[in-house]
Amino acid sequence: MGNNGYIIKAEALKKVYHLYAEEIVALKGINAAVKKGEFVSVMGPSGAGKTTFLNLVGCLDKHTEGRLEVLGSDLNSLNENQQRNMRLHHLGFVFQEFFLVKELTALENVQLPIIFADDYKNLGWAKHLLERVGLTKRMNHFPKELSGGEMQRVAVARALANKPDILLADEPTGNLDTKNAQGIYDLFRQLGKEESITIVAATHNVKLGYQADRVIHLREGSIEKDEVIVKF
Amino acid sequence: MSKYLNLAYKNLHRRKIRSFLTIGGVGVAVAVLVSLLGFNAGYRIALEKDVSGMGYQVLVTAKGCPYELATVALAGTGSLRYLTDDTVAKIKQDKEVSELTPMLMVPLIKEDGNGFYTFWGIDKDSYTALRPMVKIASGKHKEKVVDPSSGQEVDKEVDGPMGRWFNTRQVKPDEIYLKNGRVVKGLIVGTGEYEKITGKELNPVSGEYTETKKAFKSVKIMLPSRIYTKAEVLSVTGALTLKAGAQIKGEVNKVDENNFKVTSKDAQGAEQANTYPRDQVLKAEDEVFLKDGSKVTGVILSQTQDGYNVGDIELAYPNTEEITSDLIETDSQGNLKIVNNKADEKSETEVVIGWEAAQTGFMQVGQKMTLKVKEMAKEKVKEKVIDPVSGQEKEIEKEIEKPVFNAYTFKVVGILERGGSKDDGSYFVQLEDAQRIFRKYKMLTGIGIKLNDIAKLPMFTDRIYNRKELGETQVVSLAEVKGTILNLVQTAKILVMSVAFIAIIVALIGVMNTILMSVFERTQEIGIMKAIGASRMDIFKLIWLETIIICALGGIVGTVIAVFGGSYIEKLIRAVMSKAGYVPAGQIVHFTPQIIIGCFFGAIVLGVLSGIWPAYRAAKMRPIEAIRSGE
Repeated sequence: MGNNGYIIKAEALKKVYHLYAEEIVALKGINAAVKKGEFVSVMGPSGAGKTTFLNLVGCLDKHTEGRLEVLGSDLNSLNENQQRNMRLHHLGFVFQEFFLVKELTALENVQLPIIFADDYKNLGWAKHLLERVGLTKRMNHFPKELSGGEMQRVAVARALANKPDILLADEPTGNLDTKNAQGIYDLFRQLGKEESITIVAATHNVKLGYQADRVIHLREGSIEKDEVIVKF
Repeated sequence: MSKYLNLAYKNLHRRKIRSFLTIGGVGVAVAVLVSLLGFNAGYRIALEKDVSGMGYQVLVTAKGCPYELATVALAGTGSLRYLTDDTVAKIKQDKEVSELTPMLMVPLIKEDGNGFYTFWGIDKDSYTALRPMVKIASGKHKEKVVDPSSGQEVDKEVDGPMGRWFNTRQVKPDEIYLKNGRVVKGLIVGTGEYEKITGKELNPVSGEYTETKKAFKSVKIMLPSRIYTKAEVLSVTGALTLKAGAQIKGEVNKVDENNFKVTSKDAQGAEQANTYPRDQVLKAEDEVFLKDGSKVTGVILSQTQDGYNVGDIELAYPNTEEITSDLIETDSQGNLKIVNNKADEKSETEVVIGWEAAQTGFMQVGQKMTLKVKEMAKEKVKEKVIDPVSGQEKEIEKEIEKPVFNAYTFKVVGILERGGSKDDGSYFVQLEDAQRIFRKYKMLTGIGIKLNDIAKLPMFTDRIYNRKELGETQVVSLAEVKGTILNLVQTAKILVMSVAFIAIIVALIGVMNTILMSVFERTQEIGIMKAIGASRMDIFKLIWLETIIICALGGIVGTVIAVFGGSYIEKLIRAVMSKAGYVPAGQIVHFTPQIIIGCFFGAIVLGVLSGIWPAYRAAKMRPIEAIRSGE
């Protein structure tokens, strides 16, 4: 792990998109580092670069310039297989739209990453995770039979299926009501504490965002403010 | 692979209708393939069964087109040519002949014009010796017997052989005694009326000869092969009857296979020759006028063959002598001295019928059987036409063929065991009876021969062809017949196989299209799966498996359709092929386990192939783009 205890480390991280002839600079060279076990909120208005940052960390996209280290390896230097390995074993991703597989039950959705990892003996772990997120009685329901909050809990359980080091959440509460949103954040805090999972969650909900250990404010692709929240 | 099975199944299940349609498409292609391969295997087996069921290895027939012969040999359709029955004795002399049997096959057109009654005139003893598989059936059955007390025909339950073979009986020729002492022996086939030139006189005024013609009643008698010596013959002319009706008299010669030439003298004595294409000609006949005043109609084989005196004439079958009543001797009562054995026909002719013929005709042993048939008969009609030269109306006589309906009555004396060959639908009568009843006097359609050593067939064939006295014969080995038919079928098969190939290509494209569409629809889902850790290989295998499942199910559906619909496919092929010619009697669509397993695996291979591209496309998708596409 090394790297002075930083699990995520971005140096002059720049991301440029090409949309037809237009060049869109989503991240203008940011420097940030996240320690193991930290719960970090990434906040900022739409278009600030929150999703871009998470996608880069989540190994879903490649950065244009700079350096991005996750668990000590530079993501751009990973080959297809190593990237996949990173996504499968070290990262968990939660999306705003939940993105559950419609044909599979809650339990099967959570089992999916375990199956991809060929880790059949741990299929039971999926059940445990669902119990953990409070869906003991909804395990065999299909996504369409679940509420938004329940679906997101399933998504969180799925993200945790292969015991990742980092949980990435992109607007996880964007489609949820206040009560359910708070429930998800409570779950994050609990997970952080008990499993010492590093959590990076993007949100523009100030009330939720400030429940993290640290808040990184993004604006137009640059870090505006990086504040550590001291809780009493 | 098993880890994706659940997911693949669920994906297919989600798009039920599309999956079913695709499976159906593959199913149809596989069904076509299975049926065709089944036909391929079955036809060969059925044909081999037919050929080996013949019992003889070689068939001698009159010369003709080999394809026609092949058809005639096995199915009994097509235009028949005849051998004379003295050929049997001539061929029997050959040292290689072990056994032989003469046969006359007569296809009778059913009254409604739909199909044939196939009659075989056979020599019971030699026929059953060569073909022991043709035997009287046995089992519980009902027979018609005459109750002695009431004299009524009643049904009787019998357990045992279904009747017997027909009894051999002597059939005598008809005889006509001529005043000049000649006795003409043959088969009386009718009476007629014809003009006889009684004399030629020089007209002193015009300087031309005028002919004195007189109409006579005549008796027509069908004759065996006979050579007419030069001393007997008065004159020879020919007549070509056109299908249009006109009859052209003159010397008829064949120019080549497709044209006839008629050379005639017009009123001024100038020679005139016209050529007529074969397809316009109804028949070409020679007319031989004998010095005793009778006229023989037939085809002159050769006037100058080895062993004959120059000027002698041998007529080929069929030939008919027309004898005017003034030539026939009369008895003291003034009756013409004609012995007509036709009375024999009234006594019931015994027939042994094939199993299927008995089933379809509801025939029982002991029953009378009347078959109504359509025959073509020649009729002379007079027609008025405008002569193109003189512009005057004149009357011409023309001979036309028209259908007449006839009925033949037989007594069923035996029913044959089912053999799975064409014999099942045939009717067997004594050869001489067949020749008399069907007016094929002394004629044969073929001679079945078993050689001492089949390896010596080429030598035997050469010897037969070199013996000119056998006339225009053809030696066909059944192995050749089989080859010829298989060749014919092969050509058709290539065509049909190309159709099947196209069906498979269409199925392949269809499957590929369906899966590709479902891949594009599921872009986001695939992206998510990659985001949560699915590898390219995971996605590839998942999509590939879906394709293979579709094709495997299609393969099962297709084989099930083919196997359970096999009897319909058989009927269809039979209906189509029977129009084209010969169809073997046995099962012609035959599914072997190899075909079924092969086609099932073929369907899987189809899935493997058509799944590669869509699976590759899916695997190649980048998760970020896939996720974004959903936004």
